[in-house]
Amino acid sequence: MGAALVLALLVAPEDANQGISQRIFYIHVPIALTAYFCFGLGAVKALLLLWRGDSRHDLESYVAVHQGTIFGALTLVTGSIWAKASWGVWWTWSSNQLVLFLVLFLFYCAYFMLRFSIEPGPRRERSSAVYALFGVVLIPVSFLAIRLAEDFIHPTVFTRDGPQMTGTMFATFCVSWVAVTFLAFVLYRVELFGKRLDVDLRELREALR
Amino acid sequence: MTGGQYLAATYAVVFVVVLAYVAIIAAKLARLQRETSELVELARARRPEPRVAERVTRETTSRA
Repeated sequence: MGAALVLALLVAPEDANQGISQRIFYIHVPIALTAYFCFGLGAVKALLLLWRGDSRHDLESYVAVHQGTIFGALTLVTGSIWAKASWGVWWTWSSNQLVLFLVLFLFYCAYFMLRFSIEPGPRRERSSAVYALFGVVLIPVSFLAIRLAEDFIHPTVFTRDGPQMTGTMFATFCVSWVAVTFLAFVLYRVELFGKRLDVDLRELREALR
Repeated sequence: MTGGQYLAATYAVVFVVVLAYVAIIAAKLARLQRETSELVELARARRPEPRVAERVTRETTSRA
């Protein structure tokens, strides 16, 4: 993470058009990709729960969606700051990618409302899993929206011709992406450990009563 | 605001959110540790002391 920060803030060359604010790219895009990855992971775990019926996948799916929501909120906030620096506005409804990402984020926020409105048990596990699976459909739509709608507001950096940036910029982006993904992985493992410990302690308390 | 200030604000927001998240997780793990200690105490209180158990076994054997 330290190497990513040094590369993003000190080593990577300054963009000719956007200047120093372009460096937001090195944190905004990896966070957005990590949010997509977490939502995808949540859906995979939900599928495993429905397929195998193993309830340990329920907690894994929940934690992945939780992580995705946190990274999704960070994507919206960092993107909004970058929009203000580059376009002069905090938000624009005319960009399909922005609106679709917001829809995706709100969809997964509703996941928690659904989950906590049902009593713990197999019914809650299955309902949450089905909802997490539905949400994954929005990921490719959100990701490809800019290309499908020919949206010129939100920049397209990765095209069919490859990344539209210099080698140093691309290397910085890759290091930042690895760092953010690793951070998300560590937070995922720690949160999952805490949740599992909580469940085990609750069972132990019941057994000792 | 200048571009540099927007950049600083972005990285500061990410840092604060991650820090808050880690603090919440740390608080939760501390609570779980307290609960574990309580359960250990509860389990110890329920288990008969070894000396008492030995005495009961001895008395039962001598009566037999």
